[in-house]
Amino acid sequence: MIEQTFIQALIDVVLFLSLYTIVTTALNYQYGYTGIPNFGLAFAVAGGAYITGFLPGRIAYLIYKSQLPDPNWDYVKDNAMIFMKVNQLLAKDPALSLTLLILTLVVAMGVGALLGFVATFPAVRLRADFLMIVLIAFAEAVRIIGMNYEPLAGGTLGIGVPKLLKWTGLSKNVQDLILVAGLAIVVVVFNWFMLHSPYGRLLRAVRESEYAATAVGKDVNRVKMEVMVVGSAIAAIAGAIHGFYLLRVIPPAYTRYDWTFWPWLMLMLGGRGSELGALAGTSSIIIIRRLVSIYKHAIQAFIPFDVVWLERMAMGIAFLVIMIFKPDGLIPEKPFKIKGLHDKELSEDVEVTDT
Amino acid sequence: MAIALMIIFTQAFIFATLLAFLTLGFNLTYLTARIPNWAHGSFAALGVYITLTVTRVWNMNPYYSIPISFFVVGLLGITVYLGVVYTLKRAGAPEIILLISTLAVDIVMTSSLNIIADYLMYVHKVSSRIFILRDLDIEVFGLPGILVVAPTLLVIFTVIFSYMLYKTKFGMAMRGTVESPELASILGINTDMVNLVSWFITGGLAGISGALLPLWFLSDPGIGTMLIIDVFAASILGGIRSIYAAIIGSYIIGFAEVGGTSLLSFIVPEIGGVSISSYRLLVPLTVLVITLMILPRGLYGFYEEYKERKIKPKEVEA
Repeated sequence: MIEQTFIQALIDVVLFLSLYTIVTTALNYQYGYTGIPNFGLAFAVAGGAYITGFLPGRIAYLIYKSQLPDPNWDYVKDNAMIFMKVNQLLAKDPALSLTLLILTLVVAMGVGALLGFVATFPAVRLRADFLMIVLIAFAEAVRIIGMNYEPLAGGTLGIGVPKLLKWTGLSKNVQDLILVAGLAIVVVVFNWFMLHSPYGRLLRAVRESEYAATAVGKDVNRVKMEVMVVGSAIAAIAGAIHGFYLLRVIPPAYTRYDWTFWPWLMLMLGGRGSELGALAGTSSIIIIRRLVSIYKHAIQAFIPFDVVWLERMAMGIAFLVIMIFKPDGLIPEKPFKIKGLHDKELSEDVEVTDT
Repeated sequence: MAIALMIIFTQAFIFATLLAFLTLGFNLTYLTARIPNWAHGSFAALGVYITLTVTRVWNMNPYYSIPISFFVVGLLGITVYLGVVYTLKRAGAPEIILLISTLAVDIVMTSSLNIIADYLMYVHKVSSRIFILRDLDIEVFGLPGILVVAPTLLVIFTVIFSYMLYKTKFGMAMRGTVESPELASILGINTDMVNLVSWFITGGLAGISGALLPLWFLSDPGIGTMLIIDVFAASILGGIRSIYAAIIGSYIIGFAEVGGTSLLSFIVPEIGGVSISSYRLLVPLTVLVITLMILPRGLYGFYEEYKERKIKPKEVEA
C-alpha cells in the first residue's frame, strides 16, 4: 500500500515536472535567451487549455450525436453524461482518438501562437514596465473570458475532456507519462538544437544589445515576434496536455500565480538563459511543492489557518531572497564557445564574456 | 428608475474616489522609484482587513480604522521599500528583476492576508471572506457616511499634498528627485529619504482607500489583485507622469467600469446567458490597451503636447 502511494507520488512529480519544464522552457526562450520579459505567460497556457476543453470533446460529440441515449443533451450542461458514452465509443476508435489528439495539439499551438502574435505588438513597442502591465492585463483578460463565457470551456466549473488514449489499453498513469513526458522531451530537445544553432546566437545578440544586432543587419523586431509566437505556442502545448492529464479544463485555475509566477520562480532559481538551470530550477521547486503537500497535514494541526498560504508566502519570500543573494541562479548561464573563435590562442588576448 | 440611477451613480462615485487614492499613491511611487508597484492593490487589501478587525473584533466605528490603516499600511510601504526595492537596487538588480520582485511581494501580501482572514475566521469567528460592512456605515446629512467622508478626505489630502510639494523645501526635493534622481543627489538631496517618505504616503493612501472599501463593496483577500488592474488603467489613462492626472483617470475609469457596466446590465440584463457585470474587469483592460495605442503618455501627455503647440507659434513670431 505504502509502495503504491510512493509510486503514485513519483508519477505525479514526473508529470508536473514535465508540464512545468515545457512552460519554463518557453519562458527561458522568451526571457532567458531573447530578453523579452513575458509576464503574461499564463495567457498562452490558458489558450491551449481552452482548446482542449473546447475542441476534441465537441467534435466527438457531434460525430457520435446519433448514438447518444438522448440526442437533445446540451454539450455544456449535460457534459458529464455525454462523456460517459463518448469515452466508451472513443475507446473502440483509435483512428478518431489519435486524429483528435493531434488536431487538438496543433490547434492549441496555433491559438498559442496567435495569442503570442497579438502580444508582440506591445512587446516590441513598450518599455519593460509598461509591457509588464499590458501582458499581465492580457493574461487576466483571457482568464476572465474563459471564466464567464461558458461555451468556451464551461465557465468557472470547467468542462470535461475526452479520454483520447483509452484505446491503447494502458493505465491512465502510463498514458499520461507517454503524452506529457514525451512532449516535454521533444520540447527540451528542440530547444537544445535551436539554442546551439546560429539562430540561438542571434537571440542572445538581441538580448545583449539590440543596437549591435541591428547594426549587423538583423531585424530585431522580427526576431522578437518569432520568439513570442514560438514561445507562446510551446506554452500552449503545456496548457493543452494539462487538460488531458486532469481530464478537465477549469478556466479559473490558469492564474497569474500558478502559470506566470511559478515558471518565473523556477527559471530565476535555476538560472536564466541556461538550459540545465531551467531544468534544475523546475525540479527543485516541483519536489519542494510535492513535499509540502505531503507533510502539510502534519503542520495543519498546530496553526489556525490553511497551510497553502504559508507555502505561497514562503515561495514569494524565497523568490525575493534568490533575487537579492543569487541573481544568477543555481546554474548560471555559461559563455558560448564557438569553434575557431574561442580557440586557446585567441581567447588569451580576446576575452569574450557573456553576462 | 431614478432611484436605480442614483444608486448606480453613488456606487460609481465612491469607487472612483477610492480608486483615486490608490492611483495617486501608485503614480507617486512610480515617479520617485521608477517602478510600477504590483503589490499596491494588496496594500489596500490590508486596509480592508484592518477595518474588519476594528469593526468586528474590537466593535468600534469603522471610521476609526482610517488613521490606523494610514499608519500601518504606510509603515508597510516603508518596509517594502527598504526590504525589497532599496535592497535590490543596492545589489545592482536590473529593472526587470525589480518589476517581478514587486509581483513576489504581492504574492507574499496576498497569502498573508489569507492567513489573517483564516485567523479572524477560526479564532474570532468573524466572516472574513466575501463580506461587506454596509450596515455599519454612519449617516451624515441623510447621506451614507462614506459618500461624504471619502471625497472630503481626497480634497483635504490633495490640498495638503500640493502645499507640501510646491511650498516647502522637502516638496522641492521631491520634485527634484522626480525630475532626475542623479542630479538631485548631486545637489545634496537625500533621494533615499524622499523615496521613504513617498512610499509611506503611498502606503498610507492605499490604507485609507482600503479602510473605506468594505463599507460599500464586497471584499475578499484577493481584492488587491483585481484593484491593481483598475489602478493601472487609471494611471495610464490619466498619465503616469502626473499626480493630478491620476485623479482624473480614476474618475473616468471608475465611472466607466462601475457606472457603465451597471447601467448596461440594468438596461440589457443578460447577454449570452451571463450578466454583463461579470465582464467588468474587461473595461479597464480595454481602456488600458486603447490608451497605450493612441495616447501612450495618457491625457496628461496630450495636455502637455497641446500646451507646447500653443506656445510654438509665439516663438516663431518672436
